[in-house]
Amino acid sequence: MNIGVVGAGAVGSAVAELAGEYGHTVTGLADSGSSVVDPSGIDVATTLERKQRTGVVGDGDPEAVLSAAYDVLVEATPTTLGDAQPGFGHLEAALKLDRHVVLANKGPVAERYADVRALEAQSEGTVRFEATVGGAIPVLGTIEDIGPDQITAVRGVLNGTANFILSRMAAEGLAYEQVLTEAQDLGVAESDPAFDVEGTDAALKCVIVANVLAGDREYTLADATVEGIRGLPANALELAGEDSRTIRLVGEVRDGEVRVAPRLVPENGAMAVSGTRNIVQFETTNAGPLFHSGRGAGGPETASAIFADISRLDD
Amino acid sequence: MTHTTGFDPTPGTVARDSLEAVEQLPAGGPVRISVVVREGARDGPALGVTGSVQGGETDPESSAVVTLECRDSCTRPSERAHGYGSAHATPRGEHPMSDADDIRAYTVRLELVDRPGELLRALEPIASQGGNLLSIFHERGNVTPRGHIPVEVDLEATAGQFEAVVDALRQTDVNVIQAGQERYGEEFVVVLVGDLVGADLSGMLERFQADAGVSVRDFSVRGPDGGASSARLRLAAESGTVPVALEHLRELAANRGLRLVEPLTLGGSA
Repeated sequence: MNIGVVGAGAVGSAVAELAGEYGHTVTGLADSGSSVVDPSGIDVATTLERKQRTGVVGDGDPEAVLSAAYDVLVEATPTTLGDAQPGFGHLEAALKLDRHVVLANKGPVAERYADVRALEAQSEGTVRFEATVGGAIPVLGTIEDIGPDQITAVRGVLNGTANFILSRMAAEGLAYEQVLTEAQDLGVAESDPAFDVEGTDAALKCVIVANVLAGDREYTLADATVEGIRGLPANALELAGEDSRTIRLVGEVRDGEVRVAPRLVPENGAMAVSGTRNIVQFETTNAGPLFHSGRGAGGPETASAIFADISRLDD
Repeated sequence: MTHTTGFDPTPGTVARDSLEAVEQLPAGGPVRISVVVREGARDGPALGVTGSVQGGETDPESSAVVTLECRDSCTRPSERAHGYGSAHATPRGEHPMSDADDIRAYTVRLELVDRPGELLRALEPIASQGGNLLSIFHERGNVTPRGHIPVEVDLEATAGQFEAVVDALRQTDVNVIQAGQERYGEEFVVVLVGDLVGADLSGMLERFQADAGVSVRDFSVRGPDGGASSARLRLAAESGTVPVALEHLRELAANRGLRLVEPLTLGGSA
C-alpha cells in the first residue's frame, strides 16, 4: 500500500523506516513545519537523515501530504485533548478523499469518537487505531476478534512511565521525586510528566477501549475517573510490600465505567509488570481471563501495531 | 416513651409493640436494647425480662424502656461469663439437645430495610429457633451505602441453634452481614495515604466498621517520612459486598482528604 505519514516523531519516523519491510511504500511524510511528497515513494533514509540534521523533513507545505497520492494516512502527530486538532483535521481530510486512516494519535478517538465514526460512515475509507492503546500489544484487535459483546472488562497497566516510577520506588524504597528525576534523565519520563503521572494518558487509552466496547455510547476523557501517582509516598509501597502486594497505576473499563487509579495488586501477580512494560487483561464471557503483556510505547513497537492495522485494511 | 409488653417466645410475638416503638424513634444516634433477666423470675413459667433502650440522643423522647415477659416454656439460663442476665427460651415443640451443646453468646450483624416492622421480622427467627436475645444495637441514624439500617444483635444459642437462626434469617431475606465469629466472605487490603492523624483515622475506621459491616482484621502504619503517612488495612466483608464497602470507604477517605489505594479485583475475586 501507499502510505502517507503525518508526524515525524519516534512513531512516524519508525513507520517510514519500517514500511518497506512490510511491503509498503511511503509516498509522503510531514512534520509540523514541512513535508516531502513523491508518488513513487520518498527516499526515507535521506528524509529522516535530513530531519535529524536540520529538524525538518523537506521543503513542502505540511498539508501537502494530505492531498498527495496514498491509500492510507498514518496520523502520528502528538495527542491533543478537546477538539483533538490538528490530528482530527488530518483524519477528516483523508476520509473526505475516501482514503483509509490509521491513528497513533489518541485524541480523535478519545475525545471525538462519534465525530470520527460519523465521518467514516460518509467515506469509502476506514479508520483503525490499534496503536493508540498499549503500543505493540494487540488490544483493539483482540477485542475485535473476541467480540466486544463477549468482553466484560478490560483492565491493565497502560502507562510505562508511571509503571517505571512505581516499580523503581518499590524495588529501591526511593521517594517519588527522586525516581521521577531518574526517569527524566533516562528519557523514560518527559520534562513535563503530567500527562503520564496524573493518569491522563492511561485514561485516554481506557476511554478508547470503552468506545470500542460500547458501540452505542460515546466516551471522552470527561467520563473517566482519573487519579494519578503523583506524590505517592514510598511508605505506601512499603506497606503494600509487607503484605506481598505492590501498587500499580491501573486503568479499568468495566460496567460502562472508566477508571484510572493506583491499585493494590499481588506482588508476584500478572498485573505487577515492572519497568516500562504494559499489560492488559481481558475478562471474557466464554474464554475466561486473557492477558497480553509487552511494550506499550516506543517507535518500532508502536509502528508494528500500525502495520497490523494496515494489514487488516487489506481484508 | 415507656413500653411494657408481653414476651412470648413463639414466632411473631417478640415484644412487638416495643420494637415497633423503637423503629419509630427519631433518626439520631444508635439505640441499644439490653435485655436483662429480672431477678427471682428465672424458674417459673412466667419469666420476667426487662429491657432498656438507651437512645443515642439525650432527648428523653427518644429513649424507651421495654419490658419483655416470657410466659411459658422458659428454661433456666446457662452460666454466663458476661454481665447480662438472660432467658433461654425454648420454643414449644422443639427441644434442642442442650446437654451436648454449649450455649454461647453470638453477634449477628444485619442490614434492615428502613420500614416499620423490619426489626421485628428480623428478630422472629431468633425466638423461633430457640435463640436467646441479649441485646439489639439498632442504629437508626446510620444508613449503609445501600440505604439500609445496620443492626447488631447479641444472642445466646447453641451452635446448632445459631446455625438455624442464621439460616432462618437468610430465608426471610434479611441481609446477614456477619454471624458470630465467622465472617462470611472476603478479606481485602487497602492502603490509605495522607495526614492520618489529622484525618482522625481511628474515628473514621470505627464509623466505617459500624456503617459498612466490615471489620478491620489487621492494621499497620508507616510514616510520615517528611511527607504523607500510609496505613495498610486488612478488612473483611461479606462475600459480594466488597465493592459496596469500598465505595463507602472511598467516600469516607475523600471527605477526610485521604487517598485510598484500592485492591484490583480480577474477575470477581479479591
